[in-house]
Amino acid sequence: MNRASPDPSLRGHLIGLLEENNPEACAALGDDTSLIRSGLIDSMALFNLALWIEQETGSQLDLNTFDPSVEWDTIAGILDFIGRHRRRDLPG
Amino acid sequence: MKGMSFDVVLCQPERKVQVAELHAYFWGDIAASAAYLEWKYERNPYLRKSPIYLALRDGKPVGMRGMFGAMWEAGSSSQKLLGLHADDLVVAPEYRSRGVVANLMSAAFDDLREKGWEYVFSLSAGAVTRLSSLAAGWRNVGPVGELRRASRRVERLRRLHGTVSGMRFFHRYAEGVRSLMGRHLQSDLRRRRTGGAIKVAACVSLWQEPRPEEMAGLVGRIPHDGRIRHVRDRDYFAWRFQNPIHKYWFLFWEEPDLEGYLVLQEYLPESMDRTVTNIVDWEASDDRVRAGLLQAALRLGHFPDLRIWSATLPDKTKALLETSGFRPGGGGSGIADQQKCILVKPLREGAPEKDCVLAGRRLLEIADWDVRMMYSMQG
Repeated sequence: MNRASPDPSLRGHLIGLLEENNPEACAALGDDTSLIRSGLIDSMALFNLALWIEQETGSQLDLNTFDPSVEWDTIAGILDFIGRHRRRDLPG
Repeated sequence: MKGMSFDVVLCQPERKVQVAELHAYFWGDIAASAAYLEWKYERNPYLRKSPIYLALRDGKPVGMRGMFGAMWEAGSSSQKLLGLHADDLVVAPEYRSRGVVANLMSAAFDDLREKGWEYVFSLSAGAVTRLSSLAAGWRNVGPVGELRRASRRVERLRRLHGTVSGMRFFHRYAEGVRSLMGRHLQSDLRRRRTGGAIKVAACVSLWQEPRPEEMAGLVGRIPHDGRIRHVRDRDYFAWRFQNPIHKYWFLFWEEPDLEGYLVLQEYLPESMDRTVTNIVDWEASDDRVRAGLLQAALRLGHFPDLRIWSATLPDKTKALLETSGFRPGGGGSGIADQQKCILVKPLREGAPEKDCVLAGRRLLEIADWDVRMMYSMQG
């Protein structure tokens, strides 16, 4: 697990995913910009984000065990979540 | 940084045409949307003017969420709770990912809270809406346990549709596969033209009209175990099957009083899955009648994909369905699990879970529910 320095390419992928969803908003996206609570990402974008997070962590997520509006509300939060939940046998 | 801001207002009669136009993003048919919304929100037996919240941009509706009245009951004395059922979430494509839903739902919940509403329910949320609802503070009571009795041909074509949809250059053919399924894989029931009753077994006949009075009488006669369920009175039955985008068939078991019924439903719009037939409600005075109704339904002809919600059915009924060829459906797992769920949004901020009760039954526990597909607009 590595919370301190998230993989820069992972951040790039995440920005790319968010950009696909809302190109205008992404121009001003910072690591702590609210994504879910502000409504910047809609339900479909959130779903695509969740699928990507499942792929990156290598595990199926149980929505009863965490609150996505808290843990995935910012880019920093999402990267931290992936770092904490990534299966140990996965590369990166 | 924030998304765009929108004015959120309650829909007034003068906006009905605009709202039907917005809602038509579902089925591409403004007249069908207008008829559906009028039936659901204006002729609802428990809340004549069920609220529809609109997000306006430059005075024009760009997002909507409806809340129609639903009367729940629980406990030995059938204590009633008038709740709201959230449905019809639509955002105009050019305004998606602009904060419409967050604005709309936040304003709607504030308004409902001020007006004294305690809960909002959702019984038909798929994977996408489920995730966004949970992120907005809804509680997941549990999956509805959909069972399917599907032909291999339907399963194969559905897999093909899924594969083609996800392919870069071939996804344009996915609609063709879906349309092919809708045209050629329909139940024998859909082809029946006759309007009168058809005798299908000694005590069982097939009708195209409900019998609200008798159906409500039967529900009233059968002992209720006190779990949370929708009220099924005469007014509810009279209203419920007038859904203009669904077609219903009714199997009645009489000897000579009504001893049981089973309601089958199919979708009318071409854009919906016309291969599916749902058992939306099934009630019987004893196990013999219950089994006989299911056998009679299966003898009506070929059903490419027959479905029922089973999560809250008794074990004996689940076993009957299993021996009749029903298997768990839904598909997908983890975030992509397609299984519908019961969601509850307590409107009182910070209300502890243990306080979410009706007549001693826990609203957030699936074991305390008796849920039928008819209670959601899926059926």
